[in-house]
Amino acid sequence: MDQDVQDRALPIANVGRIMKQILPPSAKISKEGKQLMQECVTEFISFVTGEASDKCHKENRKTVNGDDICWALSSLGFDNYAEAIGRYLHIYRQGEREKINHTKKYENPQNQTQINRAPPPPLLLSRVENPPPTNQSG
Amino acid sequence: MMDNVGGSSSNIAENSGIIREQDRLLPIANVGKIMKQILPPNAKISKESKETMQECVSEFISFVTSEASEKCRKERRKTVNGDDICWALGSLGFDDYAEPLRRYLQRYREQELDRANNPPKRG
Repeated sequence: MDQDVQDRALPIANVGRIMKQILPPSAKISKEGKQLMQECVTEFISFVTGEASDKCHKENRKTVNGDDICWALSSLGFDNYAEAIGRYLHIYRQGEREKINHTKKYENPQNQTQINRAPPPPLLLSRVENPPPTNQSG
Repeated sequence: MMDNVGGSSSNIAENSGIIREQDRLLPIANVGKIMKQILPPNAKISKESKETMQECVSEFISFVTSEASEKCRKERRKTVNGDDICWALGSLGFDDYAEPLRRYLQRYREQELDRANNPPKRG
């Protein structure tokens, strides 16, 4: 397989695995069936991305985002997809927001009391220039 | 020509009723690479758009396969082949896809026939 074809191809094992999940356990998929689906999916990605790219170009934007993909699906007549993917995108963004908030909470010292803060690792402690004197009574 | 898909690890997941993320979706790097080829050189693709496309593609494969599978079930056949995929695409309204893929299938079969008739010489 030359480089150009390789760059355009999706792994056939993965394509087959997704197909297999839909079929009854006793069913099989021919090699040509998987290769055809592989070709088809590559075309589908190109088709939708091309439409999303045109929208970004017209709006003088450099980055294709999830909304552009949704819009492209709808524009190309995949309305059922666009609706479902729109819902997915909403959930995805909620998850991303929660992830950011969670990270901020644990990175920003203002959001934490002294008690909750974990002690620095030993490596950092050993690098402190003037460590406070330890109470050595005895 | 036929082969059963899914190694032992994915079978474990199937048996427990859990479908792992890597079994459900195509690799994001490959999806991103195909998208990148369509865009102008200075354009970028957000992570969310690649993940959205990933979901979309899985849904597309499932949708088409399901229709092809139904045809095979009605015709009491165990193996889904290229013709079934083409038929499913046409049946689901993807006529623009079905025609070029029929031509692709014809070319593919000619090559396979050629390969069978002229095996590579060893030595």
